[in-house]
Amino acid sequence: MIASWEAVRALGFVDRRDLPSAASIVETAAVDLWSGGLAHAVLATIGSWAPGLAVAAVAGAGAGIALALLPRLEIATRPLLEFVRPIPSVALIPVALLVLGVGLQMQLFMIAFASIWPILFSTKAGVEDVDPRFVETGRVLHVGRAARIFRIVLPAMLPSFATGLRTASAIALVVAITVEMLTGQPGIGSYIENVRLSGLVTGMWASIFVTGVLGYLVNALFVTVERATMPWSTENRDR
Amino acid sequence: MDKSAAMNEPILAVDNLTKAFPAGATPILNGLTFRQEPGQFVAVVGPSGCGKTTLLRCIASLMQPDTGSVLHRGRHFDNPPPWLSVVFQDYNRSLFPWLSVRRNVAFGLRGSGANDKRVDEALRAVNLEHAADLYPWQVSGGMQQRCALARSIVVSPNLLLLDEPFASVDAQTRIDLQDMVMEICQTMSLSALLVTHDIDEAVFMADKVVVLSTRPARVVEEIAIDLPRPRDQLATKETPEFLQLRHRVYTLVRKQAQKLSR
Ligand SMILES: Nc1ncnc2c1ncn2[C@@H]1O[C@H](COP(=O)(O)OP(=O)(O)OP(=O)(O)O)[C@@H](O)[C@H]1O
Ligand SMILES: [Mg+2]
Repeated sequence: MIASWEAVRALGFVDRRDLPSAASIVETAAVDLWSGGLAHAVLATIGSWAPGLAVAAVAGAGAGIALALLPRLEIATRPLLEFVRPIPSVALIPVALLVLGVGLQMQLFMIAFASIWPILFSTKAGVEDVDPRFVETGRVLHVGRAARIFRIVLPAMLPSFATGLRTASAIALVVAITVEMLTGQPGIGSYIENVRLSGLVTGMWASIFVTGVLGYLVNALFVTVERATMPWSTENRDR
Repeated sequence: MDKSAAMNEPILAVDNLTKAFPAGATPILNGLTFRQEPGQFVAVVGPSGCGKTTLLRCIASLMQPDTGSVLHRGRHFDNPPPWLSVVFQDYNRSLFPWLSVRRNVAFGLRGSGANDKRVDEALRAVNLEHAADLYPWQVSGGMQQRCALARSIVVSPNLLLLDEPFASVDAQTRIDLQDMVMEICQTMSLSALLVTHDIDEAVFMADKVVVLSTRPARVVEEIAIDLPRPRDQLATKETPEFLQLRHRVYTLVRKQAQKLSR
């Protein structure tokens, strides 16, 4: 990665002053994190990312399970879902600003709205794909209908939900930072904007670098938790 | 009817069972009739795809037949009843991968505490104590099948339905499982209904073999297997009686197969 960065610099299509060396970027990142400004921004972003994602997880899982188990509900809501889902979430930022104004509430709404879809649809698919043989096994073992949902359907769909949640966690991060850039809500997004406006090129690259690391760590966290809690899922076996 | 009379009634009386997919089409099962006495081991043999699994599903009340009835000791029943257990054809799809072998076995038991002992007994009966804490997908196919077997006997059923339970394991494992199932049925005085397309297996294990025709399936013949028990994989299979019975069943099944190829 460092090598390709330095190669791009060497090619000289972009002014050297706009592309500081990899070493200076990493050094600045460390200093800015240590001195507090960047660290605060990272914490602020996580502070809106986590609750926004949590809302999406609960609502998305609930809606996904309900839609998979209640075909009539699915048919009734299908036109609405198919209309709302393709709307790029950032296109709703003006509406959210109009209705909710600038602030944490609006940011949380945007994060939750953008990240609910992968959770909802993979949960729904996960419930629909539960092997009917599992449910039949429950029936011959005299497990009642409600207990079959809790003891068979929910654990069986858990890996699908986790995959959806992992996808959603990345989307939630992008939206959190985008909203911060556009509205000045505290966080990495507004931090990047501020260092850019102050002409601190290396500082800007450093904060972008930190954002990348954050995204990587978030994904790694989800993968680790999935492996630890669901060693039985086909994705995690033998790993 | 008083209670002792009910006990003498057949554990299963399948009468004129018919089933079509979809209802009204050419039936899969066409007026199937046979009886199973308490403690009896019955094997149903029939060509592949003739409707054996469908028959078991109708008996287990997982599916309603179009016409005909299944009686247990003279009574109708619906929903899979507590006196009946099923070992499905593809065991790797019926064990829950998120539960250990032990917890798979305990799945059908309510509550806990006293159950631990029952689970231990069932695990011992199928020789799986050493693998109790592994996940099903960490153990061999034969062990998975023994886990499924333990799960169905731990609820103390009277009748065990076995759908080609040994179809996808190697020959030696198959033989071991046959002996294990016969021994369990003997010691628990369990009745068993085994579906298989292996004629040797049917004759070796059963007290009665029910031969099914090609689709639409009906009962071609019922053959009593009065070989003495306990049966031995080598000694029993070398007796002239075994060979004669095997010959009879083979001839019947081959006739069905020839019909199919014509
Ligand atoms: N739920 C269903 N809906 C429609 N068709 C079905 C259904 N279940 C079974 N069938 C059809 O009924 C026929 C008999 O199936 P069944 O599984 O009972 O046969 P089988 O004798 O158990 O076969 P095998 O030897 O392969 O196990 C098959 O052609 C199958 O496609
Ligand atoms: Mg079958």
